[in-house]
Amino acid sequence: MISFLIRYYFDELSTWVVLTPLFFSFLMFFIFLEMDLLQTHLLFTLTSFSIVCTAFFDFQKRYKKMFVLFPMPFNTFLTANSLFLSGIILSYCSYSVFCSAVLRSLIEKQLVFPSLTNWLILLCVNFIFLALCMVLYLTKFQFIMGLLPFLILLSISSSTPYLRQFVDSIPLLFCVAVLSFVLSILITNYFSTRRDIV
Amino acid sequence: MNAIEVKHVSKQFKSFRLNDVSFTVECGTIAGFIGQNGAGKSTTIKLILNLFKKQAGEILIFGKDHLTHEIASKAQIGVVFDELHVPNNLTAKELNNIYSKVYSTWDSDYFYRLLDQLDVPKFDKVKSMSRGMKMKLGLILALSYHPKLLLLDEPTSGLDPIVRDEVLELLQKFMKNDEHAILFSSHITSDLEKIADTITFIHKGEILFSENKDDLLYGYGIWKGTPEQAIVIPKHAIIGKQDSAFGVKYLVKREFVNPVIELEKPTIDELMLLYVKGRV
Repeated sequence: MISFLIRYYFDELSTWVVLTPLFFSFLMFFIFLEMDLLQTHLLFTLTSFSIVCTAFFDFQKRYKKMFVLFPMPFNTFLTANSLFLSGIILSYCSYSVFCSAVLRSLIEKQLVFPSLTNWLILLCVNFIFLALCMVLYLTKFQFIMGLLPFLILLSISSSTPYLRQFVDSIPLLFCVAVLSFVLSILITNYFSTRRDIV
Repeated sequence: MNAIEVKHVSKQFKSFRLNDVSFTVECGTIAGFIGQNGAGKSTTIKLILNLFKKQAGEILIFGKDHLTHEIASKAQIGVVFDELHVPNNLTAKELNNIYSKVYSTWDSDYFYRLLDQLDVPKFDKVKSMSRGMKMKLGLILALSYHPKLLLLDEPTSGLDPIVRDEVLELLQKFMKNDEHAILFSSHITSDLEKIADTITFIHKGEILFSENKDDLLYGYGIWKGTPEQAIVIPKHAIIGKQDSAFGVKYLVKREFVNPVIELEKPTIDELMLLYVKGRV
């Protein structure tokens, strides 16, 4: 059932999932040479993911009644949702790191391998971001999700030194990412099973 | 056996309280659920479905608690709301693909047969369908996994008489199995007069009565006359009263009125109106 739900989510949101990173790849291409590499990666993955995440939560909200009436435990939905969004994070981060390696190889005219460190940092930051989105979705401030791409653009472009410090320790970042993701799932599970569905 | 047992259920909202609601729906019966807008009909249905979380009381579906056996209960309940809650960009055929994966008892042949029978297009997107078509599709979706219980929340509101008649016919077919039951909330009391076996009346979050329809319609009577003639009606027999330019109209309990006095059989509309507005 989980794989069916993931396939169904992808069918419904395929346009968003595929076209958003393509659009941002085009934009990022112009600032690729001007900005710090990690900054570009973060900008690309977070803005693309925030848009897809907003589309996904909007879809969930619109058809909540249909999903809730299905004879399935809530945990099945939670697992499918988490796996679907995790899969998107994984593919966007991999795509970003791979594309930048290809571009650098072309520019420097020598083979540049994708950076595993950057890939891990991107994954961790994106999972922290996903945890934030999941908790935000439970609150009255869901409308902020629509503004997230702009907030990300502003904050990342103005906070590079702090960002470097934050992502310096990968083990710490990894722990924060895992902890925040698990916490957000527990919070979602707690509130979603106790709330009225209007 | 009871398909639904609602026992002393309460739920508090900011400006509305569903207070100590109790009623049952027996297998083999269609229960009409009536009341004004905002009386608590949809809230009660949502509580049964656990869309709203109850604060007190107990709800049993086929004798089992609706929370501890939630998944099994949902598989046995077909639900039709006043709107169709499925993705608008899908066609009936695509919905068949989705529902067949979700419900183990889904019957695709029956689904297509019902689509043909009710002239619902297979390849049109839901967003391009008329309201009547959407309601018919909603009912077909609810019936195609062979549920034992149907919960219908105003399914016929806004439909033309022909579509309404088709829907009612489908419901009557569903009731050929004695194990089946329907809880049918509606404003259109003529529909309930046609098909309901019992009537449950909710007003301001409280159940005023839940009785067999025939007992209700034959147990009460409408008396019309002038205020001077009204002395023949004992005061304790009068349930509701309505004054007009031509005289008075009383809703009375037949058992307390002299049998020689001529009484009209009330409609469900009159019962509702006089119970609520003309309460003595």
